[in-house]
Amino acid sequence: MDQLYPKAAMAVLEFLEKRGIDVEYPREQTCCGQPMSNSGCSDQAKPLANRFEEIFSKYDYVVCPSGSCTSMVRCHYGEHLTTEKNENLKNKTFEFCEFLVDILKIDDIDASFPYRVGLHQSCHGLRELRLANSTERRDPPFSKVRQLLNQVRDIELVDLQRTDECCGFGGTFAVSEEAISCSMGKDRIADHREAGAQVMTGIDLSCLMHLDGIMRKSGEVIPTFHVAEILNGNASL
Amino acid sequence: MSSRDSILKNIRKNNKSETAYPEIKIDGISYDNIVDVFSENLELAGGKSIHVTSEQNCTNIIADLFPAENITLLSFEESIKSNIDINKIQTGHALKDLDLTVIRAELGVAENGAIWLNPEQFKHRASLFICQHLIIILDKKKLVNNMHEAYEKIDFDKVEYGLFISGPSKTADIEQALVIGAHGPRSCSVLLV
Amino acid sequence: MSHPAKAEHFLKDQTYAKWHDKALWFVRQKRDKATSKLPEWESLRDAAAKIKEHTINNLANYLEEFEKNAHENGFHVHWAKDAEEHNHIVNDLLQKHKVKKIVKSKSMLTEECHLNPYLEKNGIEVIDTDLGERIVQLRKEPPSHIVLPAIHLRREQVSETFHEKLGTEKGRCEPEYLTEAARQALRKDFLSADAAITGVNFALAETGGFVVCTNEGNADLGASLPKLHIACMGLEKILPKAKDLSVFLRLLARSATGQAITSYSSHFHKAQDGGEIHIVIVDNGRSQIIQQPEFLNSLKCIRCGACMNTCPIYRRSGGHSYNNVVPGPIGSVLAPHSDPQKHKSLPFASTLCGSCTDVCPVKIDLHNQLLAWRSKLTKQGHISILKKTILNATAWVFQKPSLYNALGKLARTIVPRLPRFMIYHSLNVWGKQREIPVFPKESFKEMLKKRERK
Repeated sequence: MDQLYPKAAMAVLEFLEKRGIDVEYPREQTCCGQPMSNSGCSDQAKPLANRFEEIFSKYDYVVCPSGSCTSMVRCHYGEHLTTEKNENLKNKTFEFCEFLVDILKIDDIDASFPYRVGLHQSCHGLRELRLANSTERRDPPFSKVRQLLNQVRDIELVDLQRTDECCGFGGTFAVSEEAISCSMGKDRIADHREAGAQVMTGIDLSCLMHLDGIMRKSGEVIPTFHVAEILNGNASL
Repeated sequence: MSSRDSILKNIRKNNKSETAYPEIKIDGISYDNIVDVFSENLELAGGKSIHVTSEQNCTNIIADLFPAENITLLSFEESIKSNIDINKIQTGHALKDLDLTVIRAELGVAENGAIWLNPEQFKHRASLFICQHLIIILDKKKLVNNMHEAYEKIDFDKVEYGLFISGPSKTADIEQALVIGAHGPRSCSVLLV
Repeated sequence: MSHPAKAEHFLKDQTYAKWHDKALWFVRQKRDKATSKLPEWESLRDAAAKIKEHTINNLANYLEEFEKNAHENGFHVHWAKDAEEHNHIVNDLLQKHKVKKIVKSKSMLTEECHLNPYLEKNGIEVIDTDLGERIVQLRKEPPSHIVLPAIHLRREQVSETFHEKLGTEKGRCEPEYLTEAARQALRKDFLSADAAITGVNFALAETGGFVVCTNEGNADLGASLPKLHIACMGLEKILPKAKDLSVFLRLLARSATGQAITSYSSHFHKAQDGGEIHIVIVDNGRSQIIQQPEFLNSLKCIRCGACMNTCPIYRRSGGHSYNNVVPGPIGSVLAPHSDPQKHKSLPFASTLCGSCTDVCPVKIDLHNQLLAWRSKLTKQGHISILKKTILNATAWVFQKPSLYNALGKLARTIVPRLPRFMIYHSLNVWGKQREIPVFPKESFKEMLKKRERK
């Protein structure tokens, strides 16, 4: 996000600042170690996990605008940190939308976005952080991300055929199983297109980067924005 | 060491044994209109549900369902007469041209249209599968809501070969297209008395 | 061939691949519809997971209890430590009974042990009676799904096979016509078989009986005609009590095909008059898995196939691309135990989306098991040196923020200026069907610095 999608990071920062939150962006941060962990190189993830803990544990809350990184910290750092450090960090690390809903209890978003928007539900956020009910399970329906987007004036969330199928990014999978990765991405894009989406959004920029890459190759692009950009009023077509 | 002993030894190497059987409490689904739900689910499973009024009798219903001449019928239900001599049947193979089997069930399950049969009364298990059509007579009062209630009623000490049957035999192995009548009976009619 | 190579090949025919994906998704949708009817669905999954966990933790005791009660039912019980011993036991039994032809209903265990070719080598004719299995048997290819063995085939392909092998009319491919032809042909096989082999869906420790579930009636028709019935089971198929079936039978068919229950669920507790039932309990690596806590959950599997139907990768690559008897997510977790080198690409054939975990009726955390395998395979040295080097280098850079920032700036300066041919070439796998991301002028850290100066 720092290198490739700074505007989305700025939207997160501004949104929180406008709510009077004392926000710091530790400059020494680099990566949570998920790419290493997901590739099976958990030994390489260990120093990064410890580094993350050193940098972030002193804060009251750690807000992360990425479902997959948040899931790495909350669900997989146990292997790398002491129990005490892990529990401490786990309890205060939140994905951006769940922080807004569960901690800040935001219900008065002041933004307008008069477009038909396709919400891509990134898998880690959905099934590891439980940001919404997944279609596989028989839970009462809820969605923290939708709850926030629905507060935006004039927004219309379109109905997809497969509301929570994976986009196919999957980290190194995007390269090691390139054919399937792109096939899955193309199917997601077609779903959004058929539903009439003018914009695609999500909470994980890795998914959007992959989908955007496919669309730009084909020449038919549906603009993609991180949810924070829409909530903060930064997203413009 | 025998394979049996080495397998058990290997398993025991890591068994955290003696954990107690878990406490399970399921709120099984129940229905106000249990007969309707049973019929609905039986039909969904490809079966036929026929309500028998007191004026009709099962023999007539069966004759209406299968009016052709020379139908061979094997019945394990007192009120319906077989037209083949069961005592002459030595093996299941001899039933290869059997058209109809009629049997009475003691239990039916609304959630899935299944009936439970414990056919102790006959030695030819094949008669349930080799026939072209199966007819089951079931007292409506023997319906339960769900499988939890069903298993409470089954005494496994008395079961030699017990089965749930839900509808006729079927398959969707070719392009997921449902075809009724695979290797077993082509139809399954439940007469609800 | 590795999974990625086979998957790429599968996807070359896009029309076919789309059809395959839709066909399996349809089964997933049927499962969703059926499970929506039960408000207690998640409680059932919890219960099943707890029962299975308890069973695995007490497995040796339950196996002994099962054997004792099975003996009281008059069953013969055999134990096989591996596939080879299983095949010997079955063959010896059949030879002893002078069996020349058997009918076999669906049993993943017998597939796992490669029983069919072994018996055929020993002069026994094997007829697979499940329609899907019969189709692939006639085509001499492996099944591509554990519940829907022929899901990868179009009706025209089945028609061609049946025309060649069963004499059906050329070009006629209605499923009803083809199924009827199979019915007639297989009836003859049922009637002339000397023995029947079935699988076991559930074995009951409390009663010594076992349950076989089918829609076609082939297991029961087979077991009721010849006198000899051999039932083959993996040792993890045990359930403690008969009433546990109320949980598992409510979960199984709904998960597998979206039916409330299969047409037949037969509870065998005694052989028929004059008959014999033999049970073969097979280990074949399962007791080794019990000793690995990170993979213990995979033994809960009831072989419903729901994880395959929901897996976006399975749907777009087909069962054959896994090169294993059991494909899909559960296959990718089980296969590497027996041959990590052969199956090393399988745990990576996943985005870890977690759909399989959420759909599994016994709550196996499949995506975590796949991740655990990735770590184990890496430690065992099965991962490519190139991949390891790149990840090590990247991890090293991530520990040096100034270097990371400098490299980032370099990339953002140079890459947008490079001619396309330098970016998009055969080494850039990402670039085959995607553009690389747009590199912004400033990083977020740089934007913040600027903002602070103001």
